[in-house]
Amino acid sequence: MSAARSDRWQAEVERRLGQGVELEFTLGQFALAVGAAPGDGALHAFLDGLVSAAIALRSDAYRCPMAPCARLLPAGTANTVCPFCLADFQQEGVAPEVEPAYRLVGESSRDIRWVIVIHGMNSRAKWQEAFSWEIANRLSYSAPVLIYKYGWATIDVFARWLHERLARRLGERMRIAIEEAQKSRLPDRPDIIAHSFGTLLLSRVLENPAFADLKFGRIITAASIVRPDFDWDRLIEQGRVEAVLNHVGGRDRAVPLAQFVIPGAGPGGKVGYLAAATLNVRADHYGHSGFFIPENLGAAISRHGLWQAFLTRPLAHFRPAGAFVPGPHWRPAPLPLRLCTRALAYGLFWVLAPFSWLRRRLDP
Amino acid sequence: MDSLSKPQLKELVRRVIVAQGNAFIKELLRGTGVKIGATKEDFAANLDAAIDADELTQEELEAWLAEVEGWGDQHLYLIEPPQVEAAMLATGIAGGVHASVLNAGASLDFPAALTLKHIAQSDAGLSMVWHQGKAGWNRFKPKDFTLEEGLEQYRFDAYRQRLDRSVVRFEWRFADPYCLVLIHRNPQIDHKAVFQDVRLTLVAIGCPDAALQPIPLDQAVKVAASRGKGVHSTRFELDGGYVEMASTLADGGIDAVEPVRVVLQAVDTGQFDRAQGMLHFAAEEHGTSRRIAVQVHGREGRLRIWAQCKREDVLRIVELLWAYNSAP
Repeated sequence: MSAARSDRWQAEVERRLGQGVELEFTLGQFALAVGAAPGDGALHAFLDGLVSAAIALRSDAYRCPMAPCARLLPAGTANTVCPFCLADFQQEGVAPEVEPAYRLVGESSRDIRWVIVIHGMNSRAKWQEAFSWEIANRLSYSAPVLIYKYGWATIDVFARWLHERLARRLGERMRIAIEEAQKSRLPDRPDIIAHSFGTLLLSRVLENPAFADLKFGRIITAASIVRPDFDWDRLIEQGRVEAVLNHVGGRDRAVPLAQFVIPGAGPGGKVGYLAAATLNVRADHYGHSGFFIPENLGAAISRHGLWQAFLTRPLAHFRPAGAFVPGPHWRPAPLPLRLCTRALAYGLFWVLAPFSWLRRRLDP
Repeated sequence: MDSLSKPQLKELVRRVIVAQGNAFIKELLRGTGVKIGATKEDFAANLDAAIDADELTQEELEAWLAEVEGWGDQHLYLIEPPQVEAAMLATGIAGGVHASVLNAGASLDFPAALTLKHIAQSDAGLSMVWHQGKAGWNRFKPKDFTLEEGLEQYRFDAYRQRLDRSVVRFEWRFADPYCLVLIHRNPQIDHKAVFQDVRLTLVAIGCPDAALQPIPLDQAVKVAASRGKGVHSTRFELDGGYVEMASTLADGGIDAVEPVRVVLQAVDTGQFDRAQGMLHFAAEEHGTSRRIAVQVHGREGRLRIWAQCKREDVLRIVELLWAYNSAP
């Protein structure tokens, strides 16, 4: 067997496993896909090697022997009558043709069925509309997007009790959306994309026992201000969350400051998440909102872009560029320092609160 | 119960072996403690030996037959239950023309016309079995020959006669909101004629005279399609058109083929009047004893079960489909 040919076959297997597509095939179908002859003994040996290595399972597939039909017979049939052309094989004096079939051991791709997007602070988040439009255009199918807006939050982020109120509203809105989705036969687990302060609100919903019934698909946090030691592993193990991608901006200057002024915040969008089941990916040149610059957003949600790939591919083989594992010894900034800065921020909140209230009345 | 002699039991065994799947015959042999074998000839010889050694009794054989014969690789209709008090049936059967087949033993007789052979009635349900012998012809190439007469050449293609033990069953578990009519796969059996025979029998045992009403299963197909797993093909129809999707894989269903799966997700099945589809039921997921492919013809209320299986498998599949059919 030439190395070039076997490399090509191996690359095809890795593509299929990585994308979670075309995992099941007959020898003839695979041969056609890689430009080999179905009777190629080396290809047969290569595929049997995959079986020996537990990368694939082998079985016998049966094909209708009647020339105009010649379809693969579904498993779970008695193989005496073709379910498609209804030929009775005994009556016709023929027997189904047997051919080797393989199934790569891996998960199938998944679909983005519906998404909730949550914006950050101090922003009208035009990216949400851009995301909705782009995802609608780039997917080959329909995926509803719930654009959740909680208003133009500014100094509100300095007060924990306001977080709780915003998080409660977010949880209640999510519950309504999930109920509506189920009526439309959509799954009860939306995928989530959250940015900055939106990531903190999401984490508060996940921690709130009142919303323990809410379950989510895959979550993307961008410029996260969730603490790096947030227990995503427990949520994933409990089945509340399917998987988490933490997209980190290498030039994000806002995230490191969050823990000093926003109660409960942390530099997850800088340090990464410590939870072993999460996936941290750094984009070296992104600032705090670099994810939503149109060309970056378009790239992320393109067919092979990071976000679409994370939301649709099996994760066992998902190794995107920029993936990193944070060091295990992260500690929050010293408590006295954080208490001082947060007290200042909370004081500022009360000084500016009347103006903020007025501004919200005029321009929510 | 009629008692069969050992030669009669052996004859029954031989006829059943021809029709049954090897997996089920092996199961019967395992229960006897004698060796199993690999071919149908082995099975016949070993079962004969088990009968001679009294390791396989008529009761055991009949219990096994009740589990496997007439269950699977067949057509199945879900129909509305008769409007009758279940408690009245015992009187109706005992006092009617079919009293002689109440709890009758296994019959070797497969007459040309569909004939009621067995009725079992209890507090839980009513079961009736009909037999019919149907002949078919299997192509048999070893007996082909050609003949030359003068300048002409003739070709003779041989067919060997096949005798099907066609079993029709009527099953009614009183707790269920449906009854089952199970019909052997032989294409020469007229389903309308079977329905008429079942109807007349029900009348004879005390049920009101009413045509059997199949229960549409369109909703079952729609719900199965929306849940994804196990659906191999679907077809949704209305008077003006249809959409049809299928996986052509042997094992994986539509959910394993991404481009087809996303098309299925985009279909608002509620807009279609009729639905049919090929569904797969797997042991680990659905609790059946093996993987079983079932074609559901929604509007007809008919299933075509494509695999040989056992009574409990058929009942499990119907329960699952009924749950789908009842889902909003």
